[in-house]
Amino acid sequence: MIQRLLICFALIFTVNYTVVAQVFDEIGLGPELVYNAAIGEPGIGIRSHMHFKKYFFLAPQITYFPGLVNIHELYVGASINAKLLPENNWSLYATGGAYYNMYINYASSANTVAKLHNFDLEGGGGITKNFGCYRPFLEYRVNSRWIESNFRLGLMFYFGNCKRGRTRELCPAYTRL
Amino acid sequence: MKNFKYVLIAAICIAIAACSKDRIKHPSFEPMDEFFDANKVAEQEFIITNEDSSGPIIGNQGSKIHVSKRLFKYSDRADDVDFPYIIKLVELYKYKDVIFHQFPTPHTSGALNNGGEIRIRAFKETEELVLKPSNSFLSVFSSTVSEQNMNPFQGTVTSDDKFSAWNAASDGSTVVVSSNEYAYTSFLMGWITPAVNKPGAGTIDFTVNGSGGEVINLIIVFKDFHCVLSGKNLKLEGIPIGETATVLGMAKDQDGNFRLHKSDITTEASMTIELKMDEITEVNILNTLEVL
Repeated sequence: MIQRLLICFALIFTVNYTVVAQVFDEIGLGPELVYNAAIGEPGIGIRSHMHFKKYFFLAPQITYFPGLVNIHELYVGASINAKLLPENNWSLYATGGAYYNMYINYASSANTVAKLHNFDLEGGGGITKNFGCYRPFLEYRVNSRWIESNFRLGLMFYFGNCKRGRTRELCPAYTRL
Repeated sequence: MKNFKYVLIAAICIAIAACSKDRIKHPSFEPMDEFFDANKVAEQEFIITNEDSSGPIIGNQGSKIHVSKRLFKYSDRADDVDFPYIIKLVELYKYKDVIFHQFPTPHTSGALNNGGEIRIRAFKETEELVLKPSNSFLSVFSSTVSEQNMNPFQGTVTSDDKFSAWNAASDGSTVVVSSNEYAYTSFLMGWITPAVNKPGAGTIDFTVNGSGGEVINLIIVFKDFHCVLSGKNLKLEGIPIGETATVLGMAKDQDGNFRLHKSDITTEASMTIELKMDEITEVNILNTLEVL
């Protein structure tokens, strides 16, 4: 199941890249470290930032908590994000999204409503610094399903920007189609 | 950068506020004796005013008790007992009633397949009476006859009137099984049951996420014969092997919520069951026990 979800997610960034590149102003892709502050659970993720209409970006993403402390689960979904300072190198944004949650070790949960398949809405905000080719971000979100907050620290790569200027040689394999 | 600091501070504040630990905070369990006491069948009282009003006393679950004033005496003196006197009756036929009354039917070498449990006591005002020597009374159980080889068993209680043990009667008490009833002639007042021993040496060990698991009321009820066994300290013993049964775990949590585990099993010589103590409403726990 997890493998199929990962494959589907990968397709968004590969097979359909040509199509989405024509729709969006710029597209970033990158990893993130996630920390569920409520339950002290670390996780990892991968996401894309797909910018459009100057003020917005769509962020499909997948997050995996391997159960290092307690919770073994997977989130797959997307958020819509509104940039509050679109012209600034430091950009604040508000985020809201919908996610499928596969709570893999739900059976050992103390929460009696826990089950394998869940639907989750999340909201929060973030900040990102624009360095052109790469843009770190810090994001904070609260999920509605479990009422837990999480922090996300990630680094987005905008490969289309890497070919311009001195960073071009760092990403020679990618071009903006 | 100034804005960044404010955002960071705000995020930390909200993060602290949104910190539900429901997924990892395991409950601590507490006993639910009050719940059992509140729901157990009431002891019925029959005031006997004269011998003409005798004939069998019929309990509200159908037990027929044949008694007479001449059978009784005070426990510490030879004075005659005068009218009126009182017969008190408790009937436990349904599984839920056995569970609520916390009066299971184990036996030293296994379990008792029984035709119901009843307790008959006689009182003169508040003083409990006993049977005169060599006198007996007849109780006809209302349960459906399912076993031809029933024997008389007598229940004993602790000083605080809790279940202690079932012992095979050795005082001349008898059980006569006819096509449609168990007729129990008893030489002792108190708890009686027509039953046959069902040997069993199986054990079930339980595990549970949370603290205080030793107070969880563990219960096993059998599907193919009539018996309730119970225990605490995360262990049930004396289980007949190879039987289909329903296992229950019941307790309250630290917030006063009812918690219930229910699963169907086939018993083995040695089993381990992980209790999934789900939160449940009082209405639903009553409904669950009603249909056992």
